[in-house]
Amino acid sequence: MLRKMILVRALAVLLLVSIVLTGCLRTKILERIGLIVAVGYEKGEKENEINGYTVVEQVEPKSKTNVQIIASKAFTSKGLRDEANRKSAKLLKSGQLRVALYGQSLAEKGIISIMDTLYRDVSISNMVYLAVVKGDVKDLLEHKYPHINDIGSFLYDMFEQNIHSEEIMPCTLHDFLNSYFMLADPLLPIIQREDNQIVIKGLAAFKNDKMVTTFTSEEASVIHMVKSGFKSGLMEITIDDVSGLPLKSKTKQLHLVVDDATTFRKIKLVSKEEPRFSIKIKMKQKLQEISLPIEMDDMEVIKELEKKINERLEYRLQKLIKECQQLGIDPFGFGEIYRAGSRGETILIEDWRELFPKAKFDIEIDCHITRAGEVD
Amino acid sequence: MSNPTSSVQIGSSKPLGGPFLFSAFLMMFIVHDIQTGIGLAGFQKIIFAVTGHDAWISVIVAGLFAHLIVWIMFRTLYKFDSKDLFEIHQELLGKIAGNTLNVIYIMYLFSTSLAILRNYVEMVQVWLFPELQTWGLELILLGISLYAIKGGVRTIVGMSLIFIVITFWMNFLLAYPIQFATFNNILPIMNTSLPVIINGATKMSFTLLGFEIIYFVYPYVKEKKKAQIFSQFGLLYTNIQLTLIMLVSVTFFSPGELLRTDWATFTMLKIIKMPIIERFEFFGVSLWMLIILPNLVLYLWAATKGCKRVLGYQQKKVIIPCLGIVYVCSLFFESRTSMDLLNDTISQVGKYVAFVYPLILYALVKGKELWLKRRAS
Repeated sequence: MLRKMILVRALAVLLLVSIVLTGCLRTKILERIGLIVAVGYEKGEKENEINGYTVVEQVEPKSKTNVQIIASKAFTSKGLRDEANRKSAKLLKSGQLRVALYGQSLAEKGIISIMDTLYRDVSISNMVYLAVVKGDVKDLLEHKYPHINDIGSFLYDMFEQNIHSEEIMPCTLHDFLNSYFMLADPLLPIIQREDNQIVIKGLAAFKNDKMVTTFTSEEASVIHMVKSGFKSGLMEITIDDVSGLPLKSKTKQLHLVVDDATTFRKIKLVSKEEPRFSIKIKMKQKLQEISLPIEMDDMEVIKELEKKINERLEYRLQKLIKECQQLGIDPFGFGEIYRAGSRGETILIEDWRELFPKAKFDIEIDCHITRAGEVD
Repeated sequence: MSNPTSSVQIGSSKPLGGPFLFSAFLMMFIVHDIQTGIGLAGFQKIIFAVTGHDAWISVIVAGLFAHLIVWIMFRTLYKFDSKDLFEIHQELLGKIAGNTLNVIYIMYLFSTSLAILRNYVEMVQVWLFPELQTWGLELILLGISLYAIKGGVRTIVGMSLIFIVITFWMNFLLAYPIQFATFNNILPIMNTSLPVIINGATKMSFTLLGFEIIYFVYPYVKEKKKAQIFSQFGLLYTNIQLTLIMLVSVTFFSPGELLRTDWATFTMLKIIKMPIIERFEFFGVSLWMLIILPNLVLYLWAATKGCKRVLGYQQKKVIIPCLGIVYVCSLFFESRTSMDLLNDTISQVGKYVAFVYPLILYALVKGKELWLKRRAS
């Protein structure tokens, strides 16, 4: 009897809690709010002024979703939202923000303060995609694309799809801040409008929060290979030196596309005083496309091709690292490996900026072509 | 249902205190529940600021120390048949000195429950409803507490059991941030010197706080011998959980992010996306109330119990005035700074109350025992 009563009481408490949780607060009716799905920031005309573009999705009860782009000018990103709100018939909420774009000129000036506001706002997810826009942000967002009716969702789907297929590295707010605060430098994809299309053009490399250089898609995939590796990625490789390959026509360059690339990476700090790293990457891949026909029956030919790919990738990587060392940026995140290998020391980003240009790298890449397609 | 001798039930009755007793294994849930709460939501930042990426070692060190303290607490309790801390004070030090200590302890219990209440409301305000009025939610939470306390100790224990079972699956949510973890972050292990690690461990006190409740619920345990082992199990569960959360946080966040994240545990939930619920932390913060509530209720129950022991009134009569005082006091903590002050004070005081005082008490008990023995011979 008593036990039953106690159980009833405990359950009653539970019930009360659930009633409380559905409490009567200010409700947010979907038809009365505008959901911000994407934002774009650009350098304004005045010093420190930012032009903001807010892509708002409005749910209309009868018609289909309607997208509005509100332009505003302010000195802070919150100020931008306030101004955008004043221009909107519906209350703007940023809980559904998925993409944030930065104009190149603004990115070159530094964007950490805008990032910080995004991070501090608890209503904004950490998984917002970030990208740098080459050219006009306003133009990219406002252009009437014949096949895109909702630019915000389109951008989101585009990034999501490309990250999923390992075309580009994850570029979320979390990833950016992670690299920014570690002994590494952030990378973001660059997008550009080309007529009626939006294209991912490569990577923007940052030094702290300022964009300093860009990498092409080929360079980007080399960085991708070293930084996070591929699970099943796609890579384009250009071989300049074709000697030794049984080619029928006389060309100087050979273009390859490999698919299903799986990497096993081993990056080690060999010595500390004169920083020396050994990078060993094993990669298994499927040859998907080749610009010129090659007889693939022969094991020797495949061996030779693998050797060429290795040489090419090693050369590309070595050259990329040199470039980064000259610029004083570490997009690969070697600094973290250095820090992890130095016991009893505190290594700050300033220390690493001094050390990194002196670092040496032994690179060993070992490709293995598992299949060359169904048809030779 | 009516078999009174079956032991694995919330409310099986037996002689010796009869219907008020509960099974020893429920100690596991009480101890774990009261430790889990506000502290767990954001302890990472505080420890990380001291120990850096070795923070998880501090968590383990603090946990081991807590096990030791619980062992000492039971050594003390075993010496007094079936008494709670308030009665022990009275017997040990006499009426006046004992009650003075009791009043201090009661004030500590009240301010801890106040901190729990206010912090949770703040969490709801930041994460869910910025325009929520503090007084409203507090009134509701205290109302539910009132109802639970009036139900007696077994209702409260039943509550912690149910709520822990309901929220147990939340542990598996850690699998989401693990996908984004950089395990390199925790290297080099043991890079921090021992004094720093211990210093970090002392910062854990606010998070580990709560096992003092053993002093008050112990008289209601049916199988007194088994109470200790189950309490230690509950504590072990908390420690494993905290260590795991710390490890995941250190590998998920970069140092800069972690240092500016107030509620790292919930920020990690921000990455979870599901087809039916886009922003999972909303769910997490709401469910958190189920963990907070038994917490709050246990502290308030112990405090009102103390009022009964000191003042001699019936517990039922002191509940409403006590809850009223807590409610009014909590309304004074409006800003984040005043709350930080409250949290800091509680964590400072709590460090001594939970971790140092049991040692002193045990020494006192031992001392008195020796003194009595010498006088007798």
